[in-house]
Amino acid sequence: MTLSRGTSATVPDPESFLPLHRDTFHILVSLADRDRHGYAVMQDVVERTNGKLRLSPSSLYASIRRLLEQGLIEELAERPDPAHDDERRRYYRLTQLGREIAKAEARRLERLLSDARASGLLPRRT
Amino acid sequence: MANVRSGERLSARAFRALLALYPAVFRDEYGRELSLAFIDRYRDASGPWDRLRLWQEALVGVLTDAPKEHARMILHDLRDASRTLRRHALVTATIVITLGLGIGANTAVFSLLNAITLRSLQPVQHGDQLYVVNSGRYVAGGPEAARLSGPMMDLLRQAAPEGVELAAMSRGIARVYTRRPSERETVPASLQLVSPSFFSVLDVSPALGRLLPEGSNASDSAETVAVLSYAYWQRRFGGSPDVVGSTIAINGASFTIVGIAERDFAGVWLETPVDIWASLTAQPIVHYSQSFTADGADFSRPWLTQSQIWWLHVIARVPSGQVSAVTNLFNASVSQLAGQTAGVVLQPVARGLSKFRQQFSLPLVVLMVMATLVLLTACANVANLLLARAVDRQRELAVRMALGAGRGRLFHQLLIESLLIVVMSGAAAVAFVRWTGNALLHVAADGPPPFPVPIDLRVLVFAASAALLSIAAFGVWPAWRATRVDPVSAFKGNGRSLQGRRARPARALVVLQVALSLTLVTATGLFARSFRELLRLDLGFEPARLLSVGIDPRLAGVPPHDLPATYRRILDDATRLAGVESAALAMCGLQGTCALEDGYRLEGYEPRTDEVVAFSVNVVTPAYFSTMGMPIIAGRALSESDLANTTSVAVVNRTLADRYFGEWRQALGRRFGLSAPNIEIVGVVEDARGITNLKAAAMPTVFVPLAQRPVVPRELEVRTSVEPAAAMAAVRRAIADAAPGMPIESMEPAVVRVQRSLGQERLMVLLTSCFSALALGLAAFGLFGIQSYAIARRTPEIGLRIALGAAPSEVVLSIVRDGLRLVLYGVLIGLPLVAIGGTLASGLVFGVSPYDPLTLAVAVVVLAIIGVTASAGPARRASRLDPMIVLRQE
Repeated sequence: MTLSRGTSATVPDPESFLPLHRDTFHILVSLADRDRHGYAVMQDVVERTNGKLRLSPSSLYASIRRLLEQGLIEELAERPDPAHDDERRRYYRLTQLGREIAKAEARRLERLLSDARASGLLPRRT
Repeated sequence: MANVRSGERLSARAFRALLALYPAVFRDEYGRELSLAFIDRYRDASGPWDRLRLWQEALVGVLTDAPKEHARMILHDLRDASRTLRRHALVTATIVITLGLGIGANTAVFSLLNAITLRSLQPVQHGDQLYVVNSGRYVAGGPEAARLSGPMMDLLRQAAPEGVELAAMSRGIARVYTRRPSERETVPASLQLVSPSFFSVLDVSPALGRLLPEGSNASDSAETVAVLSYAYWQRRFGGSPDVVGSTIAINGASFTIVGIAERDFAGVWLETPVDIWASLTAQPIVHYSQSFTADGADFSRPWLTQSQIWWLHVIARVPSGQVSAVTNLFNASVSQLAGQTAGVVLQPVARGLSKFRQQFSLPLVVLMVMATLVLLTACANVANLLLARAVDRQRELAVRMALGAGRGRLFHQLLIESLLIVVMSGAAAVAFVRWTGNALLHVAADGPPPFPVPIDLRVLVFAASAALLSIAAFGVWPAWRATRVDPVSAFKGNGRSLQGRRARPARALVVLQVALSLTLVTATGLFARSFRELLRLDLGFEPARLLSVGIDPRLAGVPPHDLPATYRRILDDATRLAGVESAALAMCGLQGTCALEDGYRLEGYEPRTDEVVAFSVNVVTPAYFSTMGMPIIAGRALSESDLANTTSVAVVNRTLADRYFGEWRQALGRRFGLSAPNIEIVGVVEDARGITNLKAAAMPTVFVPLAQRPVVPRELEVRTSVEPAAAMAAVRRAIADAAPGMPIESMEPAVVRVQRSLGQERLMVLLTSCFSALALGLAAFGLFGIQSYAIARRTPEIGLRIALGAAPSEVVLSIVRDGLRLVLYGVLIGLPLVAIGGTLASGLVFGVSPYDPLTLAVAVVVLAIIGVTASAGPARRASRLDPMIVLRQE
């Protein structure tokens, strides 16, 4: 069963969610290319950050609960890939809103980065 | 490998146990996932250090996240609860008002109780080390009654061991007249005389300047320095710092203001704040003469050095654990003083001295009990409302249960709703008390409150506890019942199944309300009758058309030998006024505060060895009895011909004559006196009650003529032929003409004074009436609700009966009969409560038995009327039911 909150006609403005909390953004990024279960998200974050960021199970699920409530992610009713599926697990997927927000955050960071480059903090891209 | 496996199992179990810290809802939803993620990480860990790190992360994570989840849940529930309450705004408002009044009534009484009996002396530190030194027959009267002489205080001070400090203060707080050099008019203020150590013993520091000079610093000028209270400094001088060092005339004598006492300190007497403190040695120059007991004293000499005048309260600061040792030392020391054998006792004074406390402690406890009954009645009503609402809500609850919410979760949610209600009611109650606390004290004191009724931490804690107890009484049980929902029957039967179960507890609650109301109404009846008895009481004098004026001729600047002529002028001028019938001077008047003098001997009366023959002695001018309206029942009144050089005469009251001469007629012509029986009784006057305590029987009283005993009369009584208020301006002018500059301390119709003295009774009647009205209203409301509900449930049955030919009157009757049955049960349960209440209130009622059957009968009738009225409305509606419509609905 997929539960999503909010039946109001107005779609929330993605910009209003910014800036995202570090953990939140990592979770959204992790779910951007494919649906994952909780532990897979944790592993992905560790890999992408070279082990610099380790989400604890409790903070991961606190974030997941909040993202579900805000409608940024949803829980899957059916498993993504039955062959690789670990049926004990719950899988999560980005919603359209979640994707928009993650993009908006990425764009914000990009602008920040280009500002840093323009001001000489970082070498300009060639 | 096996070790790794068992380590993994152990860790998994430990982690699952840790998850218990989360709210159940979160645990149910994510507990399993969390455990799985934890185990996965555990397996992936690359050695013991990594595993240790995992554990550290897990611990920190759970310990920080679990409280957050709890907070979120509560917030969520609160939002839901406030939404629900808003949806049922009418019911919510009813509940909040009902509970707010219930908790408010309790908190109001408690705030009074707190201010009068619980609050410690402000801002004194370690007040529990403070004791009043009491002795002899004054011990029974409590620290308020204690009195010692100056020489006794000196003895105690010499006997006091290291670490024990003593201070003395005049027992009375005198009303004095102050004037600054720049002012023309005098301004009244309250003055207390204190020893130099007074402030240091009480641990009070100066807010400005210094306090009274102590020890070797005390010079001759010590007797003319004054310290102001902070409040007086603010009130009279606007807090100007220039005041320190300036001079002020107190009763005509010049004083230098040396400092301002610490903020919030207004002396040791709770209800009599002190404006000015001066040294005990200033007694003669400010003409202090009140609140003393004397025996053969010379009042014209300074009091401080005379062992025959007991006018001081001595306060000792005794370190804890030394009280009995110090008491023994004091006793040994005092026994050196001739004629002083009575035991010295140290009485704690941490909460200050208060006549109010003595007078109001019992009434306030009774009121507290009654307020609790009101709160219980309110809780019963609220419980009933919540039960009724639970019926409305059972579909909602069933839906939520069907969606997977556990019973615990629903219960939690309903409790949160109750908690929200309680918080709102508690806030309403505190707001209510902010206003009523002072108003109640106003009623009790019949004037501006003499001390603040603070809403301090204790009051807030009390309100919160009352609120929490109410939630326990009304919230938990209905919530538990409401969550006993069976979703299937709730959907199918339209909720009928729960309705059936609801009726009995609701009826029980109404019976309880009736029982509590009966107790309250009976108590109110008792206090009201008692109050009426007091109002109708024969006072022994005629207060109507009597004007009572407080004066102090010593302050008129008249030389002592001219005083008799001044008195004559005052009386002549007042009597000559239009609308005035007669006037008389008295040493002490209506207040009944004449000093008790003991050591009298009576002709033909042999006292027992332990008997103290003490009279209340008043000194009056001849017209006193006719002016007061006190009938002479034997012999004659005092006359103008009773002079200093004629035989000493006296008029005695009936109580004295009866007690010492067997029968009052026998008293005429008998003699009595201090050293020898040299005063002849020429008349017997009817007993008059003292205005300060109308309930008390009259004291043996002696009236002697002013001409034969030159004291300072402090009261002028004026009998008018018009309303006394109308004569006030003329009397004031006459006094000003006869004795220019003499301050008039007070001027009031006697009726007003009588009424003021009934403050306690008025407070009781007022509050109990309010409580009863509230309880009756609640009971009526509860009964009305239960009857309406019963009819709604019995609609088909009633419809059928009407269809079968039952007369509407029969239907009405059966419903009213049912209501009366509930009232009857309530009355039966209430009777023992009434008996207990009667025992509790027996010390407070006057002229009526605390178990008065008539009052009880009236209360029962009142409740029966409530029963009929509350049932009649729903009954009439039921009798108008159209049987066709009802049956078709079925």
